[in-house]
Amino acid sequence: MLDTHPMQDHDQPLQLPPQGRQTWLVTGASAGIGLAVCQILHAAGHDVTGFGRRQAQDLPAGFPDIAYHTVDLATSQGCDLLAARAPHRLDRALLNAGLGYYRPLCRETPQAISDVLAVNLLAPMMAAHGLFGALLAGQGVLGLVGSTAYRGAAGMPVYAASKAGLDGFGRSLRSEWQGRVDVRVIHPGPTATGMAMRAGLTSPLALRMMLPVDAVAAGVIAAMQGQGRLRQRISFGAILRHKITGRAA
Amino acid sequence: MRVLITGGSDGLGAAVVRHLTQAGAQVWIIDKTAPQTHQSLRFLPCDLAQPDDLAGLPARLQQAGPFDLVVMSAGINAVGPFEAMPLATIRNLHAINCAAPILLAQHLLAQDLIAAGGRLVFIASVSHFTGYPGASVYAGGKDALVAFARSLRRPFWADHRITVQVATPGPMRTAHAARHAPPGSTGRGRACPDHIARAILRSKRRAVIVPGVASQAMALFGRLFPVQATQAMRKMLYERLV
Repeated sequence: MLDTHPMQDHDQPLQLPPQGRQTWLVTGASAGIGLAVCQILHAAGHDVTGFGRRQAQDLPAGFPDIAYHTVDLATSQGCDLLAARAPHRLDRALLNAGLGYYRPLCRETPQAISDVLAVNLLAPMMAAHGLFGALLAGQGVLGLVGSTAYRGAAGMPVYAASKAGLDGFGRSLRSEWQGRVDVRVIHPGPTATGMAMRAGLTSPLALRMMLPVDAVAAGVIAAMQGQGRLRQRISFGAILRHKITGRAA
Repeated sequence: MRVLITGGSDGLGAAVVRHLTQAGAQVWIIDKTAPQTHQSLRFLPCDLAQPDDLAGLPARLQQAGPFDLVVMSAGINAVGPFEAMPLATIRNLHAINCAAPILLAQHLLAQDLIAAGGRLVFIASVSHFTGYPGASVYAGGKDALVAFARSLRRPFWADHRITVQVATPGPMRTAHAARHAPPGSTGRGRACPDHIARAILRSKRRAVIVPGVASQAMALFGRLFPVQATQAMRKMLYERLV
């Protein structure tokens, strides 16, 4: 999984990958895995356009010097804006924006369900539709960021459903677009982005077991390079194996 | 037995309704169009693509419930290359196939409209095992339902004594399937919706019901050879659509 693009340690100089400078689009760029991905890509010299919910003035202090657009992907206007502001030729599009609540169905609200399904599933479908031309022009890779919860999760049924939907969509789309645009679904395990706490997860043990965000971001970038499989999982095992052997999971 | 079914006017849903009414069940149908047969049935017109229509349902069902069996059978399809699909179609597929059953399940649970000891059955698709190039949005929505049902199964049993199941039927001899088959398709090999309905109603415990021999064969092939199964679906469907 992590074979083609070695993870960068912060004390080592960052280098351009063998493929050279790439044009990337990243959604969910203002926080969490998306922010870490943008930081690593920008430091490596890639051309990155980020999209996020936060206004430009509310971006965190370490936000990289990249093109950034505010969009709310739960709305159709947000999806239209994404397609309109995207570069005309893309090497990589990483649809990473996600939203979720750690709670059973009896504590869900209709609005929250609609928002989670809109951001996690409908928006990536609309974005994939809007970005097809740019990805085709760049013979690019479309990455859909799911979650290991996609097989079902009793504690977060709506989130699990949205990520399973993304996985199923990606599987069929990969077949449709074969030979034109490479589609991959990347499933990170629970990551220490703060999303889990905001989502209502309170177990201290579970919070300690989260994957480090920088390692996951590097894993996501690696999963977008080279010849990749449809489905790639990022777990402690995969990160550890890569650290020890320098090779893929 | 009190039964609530979405999409009960046509296709598999209508077959389920036929079986249940023969067995003496009281059936409430939620659909956009009224059922052609069984005019005596209780029919609640509703456009499941409209969240407001959906939100109004529990109040209309308050006197009828709680239900011993709820079947989420309403679904639509659209086939063709994804990049050429109109955005409105993508939205509609998402709203009806994926968001509506999840939202309705939440409404029914919040209003105690599913009886203890009852069953909640989602209708997904055998595409869960094989993929469905040419209907990627449909495939995504159906996979979402499978994961949603799997997620609900344990807590619903523990907290409410409700059995949650998901069925993954393959192609059937319904108007819906005929509309979305590739040009030149003879319809041979499609299952009879009555057989599929019977298999779903009989299977009272299973988490994932794979009804009918054809869908069982497709599911087995997809489980053993997932890449080849999607490739085969591409050849049989997608390449004949473009």
